[in-house]
Amino acid sequence: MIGAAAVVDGFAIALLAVALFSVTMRGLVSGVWLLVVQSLLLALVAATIGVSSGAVHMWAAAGLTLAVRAFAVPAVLFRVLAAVALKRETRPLLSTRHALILAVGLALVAYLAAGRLELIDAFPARQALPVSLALIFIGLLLMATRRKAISQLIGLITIENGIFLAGLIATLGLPLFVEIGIFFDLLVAVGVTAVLTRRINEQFDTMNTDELRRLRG
Amino acid sequence: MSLAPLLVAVPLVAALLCAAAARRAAGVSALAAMITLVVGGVVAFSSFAGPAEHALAGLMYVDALSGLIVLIVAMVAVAAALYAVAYVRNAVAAREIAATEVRWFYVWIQLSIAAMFAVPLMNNLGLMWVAIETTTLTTALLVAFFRRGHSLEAAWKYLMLGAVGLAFALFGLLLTYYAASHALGEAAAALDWDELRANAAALDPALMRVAFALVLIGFGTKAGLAPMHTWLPDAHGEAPTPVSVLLSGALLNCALYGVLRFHLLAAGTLGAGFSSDLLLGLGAISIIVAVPFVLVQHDLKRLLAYSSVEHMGIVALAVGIGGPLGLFAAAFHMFNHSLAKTTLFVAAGALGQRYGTLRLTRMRGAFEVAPIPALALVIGTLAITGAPPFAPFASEFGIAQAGFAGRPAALAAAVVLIGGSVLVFGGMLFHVLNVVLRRAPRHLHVAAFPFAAAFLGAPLVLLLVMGIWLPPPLRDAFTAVAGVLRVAP
Repeated sequence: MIGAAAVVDGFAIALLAVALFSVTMRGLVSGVWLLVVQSLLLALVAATIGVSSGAVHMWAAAGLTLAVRAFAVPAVLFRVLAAVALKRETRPLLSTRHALILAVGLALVAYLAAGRLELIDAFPARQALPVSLALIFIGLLLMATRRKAISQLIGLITIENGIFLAGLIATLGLPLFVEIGIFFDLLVAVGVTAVLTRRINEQFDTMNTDELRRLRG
Repeated sequence: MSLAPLLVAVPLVAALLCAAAARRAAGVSALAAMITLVVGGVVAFSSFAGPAEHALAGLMYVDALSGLIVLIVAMVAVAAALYAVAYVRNAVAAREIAATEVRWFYVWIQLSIAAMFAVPLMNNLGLMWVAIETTTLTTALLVAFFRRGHSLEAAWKYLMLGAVGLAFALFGLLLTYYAASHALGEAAAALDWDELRANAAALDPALMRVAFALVLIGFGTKAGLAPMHTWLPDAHGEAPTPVSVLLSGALLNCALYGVLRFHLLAAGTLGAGFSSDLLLGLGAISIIVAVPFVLVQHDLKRLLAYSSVEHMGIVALAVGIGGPLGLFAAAFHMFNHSLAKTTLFVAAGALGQRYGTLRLTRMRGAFEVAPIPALALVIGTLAITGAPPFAPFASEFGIAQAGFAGRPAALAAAVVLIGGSVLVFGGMLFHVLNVVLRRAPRHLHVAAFPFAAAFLGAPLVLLLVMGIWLPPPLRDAFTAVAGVLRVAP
């Protein structure tokens, strides 16, 4: 049991590092790749807890995480990115350096806040709960300071990952059918946002070509 | 054998049929809405008359509170689906959307209606969350359906704020599940409403306090409670009008329903004080925030949207005041608001298509331009702003009365309610009279609206009748809802 907890702690720390790293990234493609890494780490956490606790539905959770979060969602995002012209976060509200400082500060706040929350007989991984709160905070930071639709979506998924991690630790996940519903919603959400992103981009493109025409005339 | 599952199944089947039969999509959608109106009426009134029922092997749970929301969704959905026929036809004629896309509009409308019916019927709170999230996704696409620049922006804002809000609610749900699985053991039913409500006293108070706060922020965002309401005027204002009707008349109530369920749960664990006071406070803030935006509004549908923020605030405040009278008036007011907002949005949409704009400064002389929608706009405005003898006057009067008889915070809330209502009455009437009077512009669009009088008149007549004499079946209905909402002090 203790061994498994240490492994989960390791994955949790890695998750935090990936989230902090994504704050420093401006490229949208690498942002999505970081999401893939986050999802793989989450699936590993679920699988580790599944092995150590013997809870069968954790395997289902790990499988769903792999299929939906690590594969389907990024696939949709990559397709959108292939269709749009802009591949970088151009004018974020905070410079990369300031955003990183703020993100580290938020992670510290998450550790302080998690220290006050006592979850009796949750999975004994010390780092997981603070990291899940930190993921939620960092996701909010990304959503608040980035302007590109895809970047905001990356922030949103980071928040959801944080909640998912907290769920894995605190209650070994929600009941399976609720979990499936949530995964389904996540998938639809990404699909809908992908449609909207494309439409926004279409309008943006039209605006650009108008400008080109004006310059020519 | 409850008919409740049909309420979700019929719109789902209708959505499939709309996708398959492009030419008949409008008719299929209208027919499905009429079927769900009948079924919804049966389900709702049997829930008011008897004890709570289960359906679909315990997956669904119908009590009087679910019944009220079902009734509201059924009525608003039929108005939206029928009005959509005329509205979409005009939009196609005006080249706002391509004729080939029309069926998808009905598909998404029907999917949204199915999700909205699912919200009050789900026994499992996790699945209720899934249903509410689904409504966000389907309606966000509808908001952006016409692909104008502003509507895309509005849909994006709606989707992102809605999703963040729902993430908070999910975290609250998780804490509730954690608390429940400790109190009740590793039961698969740990998020089932009936189990939770029965065992609420055994849940961990500290956890439930945080859980309720998170859920209030989360579902409160969807319900348009200030200060999380900022997406609402954009989405309700920019959406195609039949969608505005659905959003304002039906969906806000579904989200508020989620808040109310957790309020009952939190009150069962913590006593009535904590969650009632939060509802009271957010309700009062919503009223206060809405007033200035109503006064200086420049867009007709945004005006109505801010009025929705105000009225969701009034309902939350009424539940916060509590007591048999306050809760009765809360249920009554929820019903009244939906009826009045349906008429108002349809009238605004009809006028908007004639003028080709919703800017208040460019809409003048509506009595000449389109007499029936103009008249409905004036009467609807009088009704929603609480002028006697319409029903919202009766419900707001009841809320104020309950407030004055209640604790000091309730008394302060009643004062906010009365002050806010007076200001909104003046502001809305000023804008609306400017629209219907004055001289009409010369350039107008052609937009047909058959059966306008029946559409716009029916809800107003009902509001008038209920204001003077509340029919006994409805009185019993609101009493039953107040019974469900009652919490021990």
